Amino acid sequence: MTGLLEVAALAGLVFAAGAWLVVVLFAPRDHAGGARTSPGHRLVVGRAWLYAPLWVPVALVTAAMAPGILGALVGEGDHCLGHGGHHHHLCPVHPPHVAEGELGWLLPLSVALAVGAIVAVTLRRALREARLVRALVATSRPSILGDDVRLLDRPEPIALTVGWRRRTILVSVGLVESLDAEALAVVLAHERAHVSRGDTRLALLDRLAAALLPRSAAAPLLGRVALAREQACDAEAAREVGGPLAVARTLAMVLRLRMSAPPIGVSMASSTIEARVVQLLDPPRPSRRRLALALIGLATLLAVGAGPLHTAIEHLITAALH
Amino acid sequence: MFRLPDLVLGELERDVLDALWTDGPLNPGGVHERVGVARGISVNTVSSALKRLHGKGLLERTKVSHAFVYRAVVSRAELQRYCIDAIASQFGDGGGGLLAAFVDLAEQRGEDTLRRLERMIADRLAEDGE
Repeated sequence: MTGLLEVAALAGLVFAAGAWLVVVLFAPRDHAGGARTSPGHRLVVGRAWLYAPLWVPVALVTAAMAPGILGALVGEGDHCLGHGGHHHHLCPVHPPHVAEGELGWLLPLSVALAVGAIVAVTLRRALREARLVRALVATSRPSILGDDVRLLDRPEPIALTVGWRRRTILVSVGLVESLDAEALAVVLAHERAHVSRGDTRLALLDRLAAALLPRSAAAPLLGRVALAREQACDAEAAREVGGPLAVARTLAMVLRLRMSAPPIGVSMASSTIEARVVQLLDPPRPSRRRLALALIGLATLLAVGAGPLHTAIEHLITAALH
Repeated sequence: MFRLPDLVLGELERDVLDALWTDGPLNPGGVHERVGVARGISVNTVSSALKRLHGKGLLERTKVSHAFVYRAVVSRAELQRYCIDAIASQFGDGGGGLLAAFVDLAEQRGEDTLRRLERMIADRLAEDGE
């Protein structure tokens, strides 16, 4: 089985490099693209691009092993026997022998170390942020808006959901004092939607995946995911409180309040408010065609993995290991 | 302003800071009355927490008679602003990924854009009212 692990790791590495290149070259570059589709759809598409260097190799290696497994199960049409024993089989039924050279484990190990280092740097930043968040929560005060809501003594309009394990909603005194009851209920429903969806945790995973890509490709994908996430919470708030118009009105009210306050931090590349208001006023219709297209695309990818890619990768690995 | 380790506050430190923010400058005895008695801890323990906060740069102290009087260097609101700024700058994009904010903290559209959005909403409200 060691031989199979070597071959699977090498194949995974080649597929991952290919997927990474495709994302870097072809991933959408506009932050708010596809705004006419539902937030759920855009979240799936955005994350499919973002995580492609991780899930594509897993899917392709699994698909590439399918012919051997199916051949063994059915009892005929054994793919590996048809090829003879002249190359490394990417197959658990006919595992290849251990490679003669050291490339089989040296190459995947060096890439794994590089990926590990990038993930460690990103995690270190995230942990630093978690400590700042704990400090921020520690300085906040309890509120009468709910056990999960705490107050910040800031005049700016701020509403945040923070924390990965224990999630807390923080709202500023400035926001609470400026909004009417319905608008405040919308803000809280929106933030509670972030809590129930586990958005702060998913955002951390998105960050880790994005760290493996160059900034030019990662930033637009993160922007798309962030916009879709906000729109999904807007939709949830609309269901809970007063409908889409109430949410759109609240967004405009908070933006109006923001106009008179200095900005905090650095803005993302594009405005999310306009896209959110437009989507609330004119929601997209659900489309089965897109789902069908996505499924056809995935099936094609797996078929290519099980067919031509399977054979090509076996020959490549044989050439590399001998 | 501060280093991050200075902002990691224990529960007692947080309560001590809270007392100073709420009631203004206090000596260790005054702080003990407010946060120590209910916890059943000694004045010395409260004094240690005050010294730690002073060491972190969050408190300043002046000697009055034989005791130090402590006061917070920054207000609660200033410290919160510092934390939010620091969080927002962690990943260089306003915390767009990790902070789930109702409105992007740095979002400041032009007056024209905002008016256009408000007009769209007003039109839709009028349509729905008809």
